[in-house]
Amino acid sequence: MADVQLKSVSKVYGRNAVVNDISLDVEHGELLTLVGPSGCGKTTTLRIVAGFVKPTHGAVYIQGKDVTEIPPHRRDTGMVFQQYALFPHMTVQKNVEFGLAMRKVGARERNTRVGEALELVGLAHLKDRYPRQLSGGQQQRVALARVLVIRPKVLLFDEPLSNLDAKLRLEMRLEIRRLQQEVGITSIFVTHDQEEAITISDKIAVMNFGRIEQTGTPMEIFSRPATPFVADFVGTSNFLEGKLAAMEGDCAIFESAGGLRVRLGPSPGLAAGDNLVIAVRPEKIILAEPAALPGTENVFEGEVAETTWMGPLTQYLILLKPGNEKLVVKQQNLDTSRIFRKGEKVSVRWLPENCLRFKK
Amino acid sequence: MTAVDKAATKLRGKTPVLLVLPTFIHFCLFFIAPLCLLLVYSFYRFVPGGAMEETFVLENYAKFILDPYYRGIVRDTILLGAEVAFFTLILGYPLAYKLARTRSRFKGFLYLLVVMPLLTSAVVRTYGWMVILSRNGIVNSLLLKWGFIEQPLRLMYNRLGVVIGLTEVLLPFMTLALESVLRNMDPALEEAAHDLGANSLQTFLRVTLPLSLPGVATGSVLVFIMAISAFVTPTLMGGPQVRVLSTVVYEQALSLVNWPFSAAVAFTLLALVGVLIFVYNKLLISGKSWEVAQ
Ligand SMILES: Nc1ncnc2c1ncn2[C@@H]1O[C@H](COP(=O)(O)OP(=O)(O)O)[C@@H](O)[C@H]1O
Ligand SMILES: [Mg+2]
Repeated sequence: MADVQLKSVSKVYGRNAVVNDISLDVEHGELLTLVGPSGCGKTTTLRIVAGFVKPTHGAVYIQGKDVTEIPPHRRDTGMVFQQYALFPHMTVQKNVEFGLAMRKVGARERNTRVGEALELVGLAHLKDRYPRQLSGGQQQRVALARVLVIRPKVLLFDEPLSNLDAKLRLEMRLEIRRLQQEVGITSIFVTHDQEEAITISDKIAVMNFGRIEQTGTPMEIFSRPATPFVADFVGTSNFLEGKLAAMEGDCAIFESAGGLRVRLGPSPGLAAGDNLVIAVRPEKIILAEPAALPGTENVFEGEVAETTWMGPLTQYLILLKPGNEKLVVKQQNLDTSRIFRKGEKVSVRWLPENCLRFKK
Repeated sequence: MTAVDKAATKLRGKTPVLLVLPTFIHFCLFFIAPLCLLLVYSFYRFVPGGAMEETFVLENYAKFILDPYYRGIVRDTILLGAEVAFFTLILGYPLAYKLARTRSRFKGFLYLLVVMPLLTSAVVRTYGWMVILSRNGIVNSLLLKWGFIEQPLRLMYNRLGVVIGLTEVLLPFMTLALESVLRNMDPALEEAAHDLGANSLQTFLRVTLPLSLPGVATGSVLVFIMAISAFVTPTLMGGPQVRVLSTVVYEQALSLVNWPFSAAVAFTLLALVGVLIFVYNKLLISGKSWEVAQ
C-alpha cells in the first residue's frame, strides 16, 4: 500500500477551491514532486499532509492510517520550510535535538543521533553556532538534519531551494536526492521549477488551479504530456491549433488554422474532422537554408523574426508560411551550425513522431 | 559668491540643528530647568509655614529613607508597579498574540479598540468603573442577586481599585510592545516546532515565549514605570486611603507646602526609574546575543 495517500482532498477558502479534489499515492521510499505555477495550491496541499491545514473534504492517510483529524505534532512528518524556520535562539545542536527532546529520547541517544545527523549533512563542526552565524546553504543543511534525525514517516519540502543562489541550488538538489535515497524516507517535494522536478523525482504530479493535471515519472511527463498545460509547463512552447484533415492509414494529416499541413505519427483513436492542438518541442526542430532539407515530409518555409544567442544554444522565432504562425526553435551551437539573422529565409522540419497531439 | 550667499550656504549646513532647536529650547526651559531646580530644593531645609532655608542638608532624603512609614510607601509603590505589570502581561499576551496573527479585515479596528483606554480621559474611565465596581455597581448587584455574596464587595476606593484601573489604562502599552515582537516572529517557527512533535504548550514555552522575551521586557518596564509614577488613577480609583509615591509628592508639595521633602521623594522616584531603565538596557543587550553573529 502507498505510504502517503490523499483521497479526494479539497480545500476551500471562502468560495475559492485552492485545492480541488486531489488524489495522490506516494509509495514507500519514493520522492514525489508537486510542481506547478505559483498559486496553484502546492503549498496548501503539502500543509494538508503536515496537518497545518485541515481539508474541507477528503482524507489523508499515512502508512495506511487516516490522519485527517490528527494534529501536526502527532503525525510524524518532517517538514523543511522555504525560509528554513530554524529556531534563532538555539544552537545548531539544540535545533537538531528539538524533535528528539519532544519524543522524550534519552540524553545519550539524543547526542549520538544528533551527531550522526550532523555528520550526514557535513556540519558536525558547526554544532555550537547559532543559525544567524551560518550561510544559507548551511542553514538549509541544518534544517535537513533537524528533520532527518527524527526519522519521520514522511519528509515534506516546500520549495527548499528557492532562497539559494543558482550554483548552490544545483548542488543542494543533488544532495537532497542523495540523502533521501540513502535514508529511504518517503518524500513530497514542492517546487515551481520543472527542471528541478524532472531531475530530483521518482514521480511528478503537475498541478494547475488546485487540480492535478498529470501524474507520472519524469520521463512520462516530459515526453508524453497529457494536456497542453503540462506540455507548456515542461517547455514545449510551440502549439498549433487546427483540424485533422485526413487519415492516411494509421497516420493523420493535420491542417493548422494558418494552412500548414503536418503529418503526425500513428494516431489511433482520431478521426478526420477532429479539432486538435498539436505541439512540438523547440529542440526537436531542425533549421536549414531554404530548400536545403531532403524529403518533403513536414518541411516548411519561413522567415527569422528574432534571434537570441544563449551561449550553448541559439533560440529563434520563426514565422511560417503561409499563415505567419510562430515557431520557437532551439539549436545547439555546434561548430558546424550557422547562425541565422533576423529577416533571413529558412526552412524547418520535424519528425511526425515528435508531434504531441491533444484533442480539443 | 556674495556675502549673503555665503551666509545662506553656511546656514543650510546647519538646517538640521536649526530644526531641532525650538524643541531643544522648550525641553531645556520647561523640563531640565525645573528638574534642576527641584534637585537643588531637595537639599534645602524646610521651615514650617512653607518657607525654605537655602542650605545643603541631606535630612529630606534621610527622613524618607529612614522613616518606616515612607519605606512602606516605597515598598507598596514598587509592589503596585509589579502587580500591574504582571496583570497587563497576563491579559495582554493572548490579546497581542491574536492581534499579531489575525488576518481579519478589521485589524485596524482591533488596534483602535486596544488603544481605546488611552483615548479616554481618566475621569470618564473612572466614572465607567464606578458604574461597574461601586457598592451598587453591576458586579455587586449581580453577585448579590445570584447569592454568591451577602454584603457588597469593596472593589474600588482601595488598592484593588487602583490595580484594576491601572491595569486597564496601561494594558495598551503592554499589548503593543508584545504585539510588535510577535508580529515580527515568523509563524513558520511555531509550525516547525509542531511538526517536530511539540504540542501547543511546549511550542509556547520553548519557542514563542523565549523569542518574545524582548517584548515582555519592554512592556513590563514601560508599564512598571508608568504605574509607579501614575497619579490620577491612584487618586481617583484609590481614594484618600491609598498612598503611593506620587500622591506623597503631591500632598507634601501642595497640602503641606513642604517643597524640599516633596522634591526629595520625587527624585527618589526618578532614580528608581533611571536604575530600572539602565538594568533593562543591559539585559536587552545581553539577552539578544544570539541575534548578532560574533
Ligand atoms: N489561509 C488562506 N486563506 C485564503 N487564501 C489562501 C490561504 N492560503 C493560501 N491561499 C490562497 O490559495 C492559493 C494557493 O496558495 P498556495 O498553496 O500557497 O500556492 P503555491 O504554493 O502553489 O504557490 C493562493 O491563491 C493563495 O492566495
Ligand atoms: Mg508555495
